[in-house]
Amino acid sequence: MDLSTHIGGGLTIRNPVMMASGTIGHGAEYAGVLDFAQVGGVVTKTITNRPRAGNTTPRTAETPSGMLNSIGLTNPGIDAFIEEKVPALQALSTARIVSIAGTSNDEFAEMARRFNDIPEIDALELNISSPNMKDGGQLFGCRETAAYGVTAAVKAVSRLPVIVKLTPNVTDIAVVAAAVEEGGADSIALINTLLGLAVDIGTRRPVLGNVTGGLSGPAVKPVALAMVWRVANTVSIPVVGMGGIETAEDAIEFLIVGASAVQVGTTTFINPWAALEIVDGLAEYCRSQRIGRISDLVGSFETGPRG
Amino acid sequence: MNSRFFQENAEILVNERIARNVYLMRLRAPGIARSCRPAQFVQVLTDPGRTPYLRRPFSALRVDAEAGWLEIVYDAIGEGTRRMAAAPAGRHLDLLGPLGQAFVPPDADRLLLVAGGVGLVPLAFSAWFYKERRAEMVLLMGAANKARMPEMDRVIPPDLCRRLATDDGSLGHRGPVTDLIPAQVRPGETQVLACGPHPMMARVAGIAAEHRLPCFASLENHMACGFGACMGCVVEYLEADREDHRYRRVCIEGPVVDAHAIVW
Repeated sequence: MDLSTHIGGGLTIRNPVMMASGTIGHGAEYAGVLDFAQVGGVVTKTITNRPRAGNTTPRTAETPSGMLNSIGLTNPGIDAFIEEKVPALQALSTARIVSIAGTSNDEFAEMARRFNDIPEIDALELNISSPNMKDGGQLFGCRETAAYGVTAAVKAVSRLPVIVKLTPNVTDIAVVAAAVEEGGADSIALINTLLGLAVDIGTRRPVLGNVTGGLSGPAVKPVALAMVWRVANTVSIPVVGMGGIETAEDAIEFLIVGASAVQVGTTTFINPWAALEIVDGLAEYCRSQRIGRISDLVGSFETGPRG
Repeated sequence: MNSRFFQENAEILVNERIARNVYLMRLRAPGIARSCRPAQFVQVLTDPGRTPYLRRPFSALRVDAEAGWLEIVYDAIGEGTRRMAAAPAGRHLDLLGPLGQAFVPPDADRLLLVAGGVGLVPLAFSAWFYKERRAEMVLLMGAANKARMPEMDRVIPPDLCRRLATDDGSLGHRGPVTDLIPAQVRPGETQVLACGPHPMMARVAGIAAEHRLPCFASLENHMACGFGACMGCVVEYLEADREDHRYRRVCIEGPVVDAHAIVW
């Protein structure tokens, strides 16, 4: 059985289960805990040009079937990342994808250029969708012209496949997806977190130090599925789906509606080995359904009249 | 930093009330029991149906590596801990651990353990584990009242010197546990380790600073993962060599921190 899948720009990964940005550090910290050789890929926590402390505390709040976070892209900055983190990342035997975020097209492009000469980095993921970055992030992902511009700017200089990660906090995500495709993106990842708020009724203050945060976990899965389905029907480049995936069954739903791969995020906080269990579950499903290649499952969704 | 921890489906061996709303739970978890050290904690999935959704962190009280069990203590204050309180012996709980950095008592002739409520737990583990250093330790233990004071014989070694305080005076000194600190200080010989509610620890840190005593605090925080990946449970430091080190994770750089180095 063939679990491999193409996620754009010539990058084929061994199976469609990737670990999402911001949920597993820079990967290598957990090499002693989980075997990365069994997952399709790992996406680093987002790197910015300069080091960032992140947001004030509290940074997380549990909500029904999910959580809010307002971490705020804590990271060492690109120089220290390349010096201190990349060597261990290169040693992981899985697809190594670096997530980057900038505050301008030039900054995104300059950061992307730095990875042209670094071997064993397999792709870039552009984070134009963080709800927790005031000076960038979602500002790019909310307007199709800005999303087009930053994608084109990075594609003009990068030798790596470029995945663009979109925010669901827009009027029509398909419009942004089409603009990103036109800008030359090799694939589209969605969804980043949904903007959310939790209130402490005792103090009448926000639970999070940053007031609002991003919602993730099983609570967002139906929203994510609808958006992945819509985007997959809009663009012709591969789509990487995510949002609330906890089990192989969840992942299969995303593949059926058109995702070529999925990313597993918040559930890793509860079960660090969830991605591995999902890979096993996918293989079992393919066996039982007599599916020879997982790519045959991708986009097999039927919405016509029920027979 | 390489993290090493694992998952165990642990049978509940004992689950008993030791004060009003406070419970002691003994779990069969041979792997964690073998490697868990003072101040380390476990992440407990309180409900297999995932309501609450995230795990909850609990500091270890004691382990028996040969018998393969560990004990935790919890205050039944929320949905998850109320579920734990209702769980009978024989049921299983999913644990991740051990997590966090172990606390090794610093060289000192006198170690003041200042505890509030279930903050007693990591301090008691230090006293159980470092048996040879126990004579140097004095426990100052505070609770709201007598009913909320855990049965000491159940949680600390019998030969550990202790002084008790309650807010209402129903047991021991009347007033905050921090009132007991000055009388116990021998300048130049004393170090302090505190664990309890945040305002209490902040007060301990202040008193220690006045007396120029080294002071460590075992912090508690809301955690999503407990193993360093989410960056949620951070504490702010007064000084940082680089911007991304201004906040550090309670779960992986901690839970024990230099009480004079952080923003209270």
